[in-house]
Amino acid sequence: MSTNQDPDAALMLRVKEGDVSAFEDLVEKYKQPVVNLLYRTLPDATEAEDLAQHVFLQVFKSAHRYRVSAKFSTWLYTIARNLCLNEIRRRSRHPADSLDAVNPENEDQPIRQYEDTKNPLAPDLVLQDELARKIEEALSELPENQRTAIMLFREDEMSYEEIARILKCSLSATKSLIHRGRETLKQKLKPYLRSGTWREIKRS
Amino acid sequence: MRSPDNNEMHKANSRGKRKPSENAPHPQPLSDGREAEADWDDEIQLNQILERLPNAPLSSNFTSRVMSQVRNEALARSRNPWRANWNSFVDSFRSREWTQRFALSAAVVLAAFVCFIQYQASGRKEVAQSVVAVSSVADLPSLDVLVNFDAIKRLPKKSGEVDVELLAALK
Repeated sequence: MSTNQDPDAALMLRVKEGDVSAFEDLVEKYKQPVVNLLYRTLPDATEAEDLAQHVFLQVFKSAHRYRVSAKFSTWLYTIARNLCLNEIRRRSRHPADSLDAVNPENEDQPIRQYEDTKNPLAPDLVLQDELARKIEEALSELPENQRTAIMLFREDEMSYEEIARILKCSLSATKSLIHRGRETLKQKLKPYLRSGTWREIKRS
Repeated sequence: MRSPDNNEMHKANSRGKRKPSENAPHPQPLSDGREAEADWDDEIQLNQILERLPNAPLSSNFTSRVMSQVRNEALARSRNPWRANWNSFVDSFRSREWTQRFALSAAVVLAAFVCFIQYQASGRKEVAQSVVAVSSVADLPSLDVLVNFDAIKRLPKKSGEVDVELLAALK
């Protein structure tokens, strides 16, 4: 892997030499994909953002150890995943009351609430909102490695080899994770996929 | 997209052998065709759904907050490189997986144990060497000197006074 093939690696080499502005370009480019990845694993948007901030700081601190052996994004997502797993482990050791914990009084409410900035009465939008919630629910119920594999596959159109590196498993295991994750999603979303509502919403 | 049954058939074909159950005629070829078509449609729909997943909420000053931390880090590193390197080491240790952390910790404990054993062994060696050195210089007295040892030990101790009677008897 050369810097010609991966412009981000060239930026990271500049960071290694002390160029802070090059790092700003990288943060700007990858902030949304990293937060997306963390948000689907951690239940809270603020926590996901804080962890993403920590990920970028960690990347900067580790710049002196960076070698152009793979794409920069592979290295970045590996750090992001490791920190995310550490956070999950830390939480399991020191469990705290979650704001998302189901309250018996309103247990029929969804885990995540989305800010509705559009007209709440429009039936298509209500349906779209419900679909979005169902998709998020289905994703959050997947095992961590399946969800991460699917998100990486979707987020950056990463190759199976790159995802396998990030997940530290074999190529065949990665393909299997993605396949099983997609099958589970299809099963859970089948009523919506087959009813045609998704297609109708897309057209409108 | 193949249905699960079709997948099994495909696998069996690629193996070159079929189990008896796989040799059985396909029960519902027509409905399977429709099912496969529906599966394929689901695949396409799922791809589109995943592509259209909404982005996670992100504050507008995210980059500036990260860059502020990064500049502080760079400044701290230029002021105190040793401390910055140590912090960097601690952070990198924390960001590793638990297996790597365990291996690293085990290596440190093992190294400390080996150092302790070496230290103890070198201590014992030093004591043995000093005993050898002393024993070669100060030879033990002969047994004849100790003939009256018990009698002399039982004698009353009178400090400062000379036992003239004893002296005379000895002469």
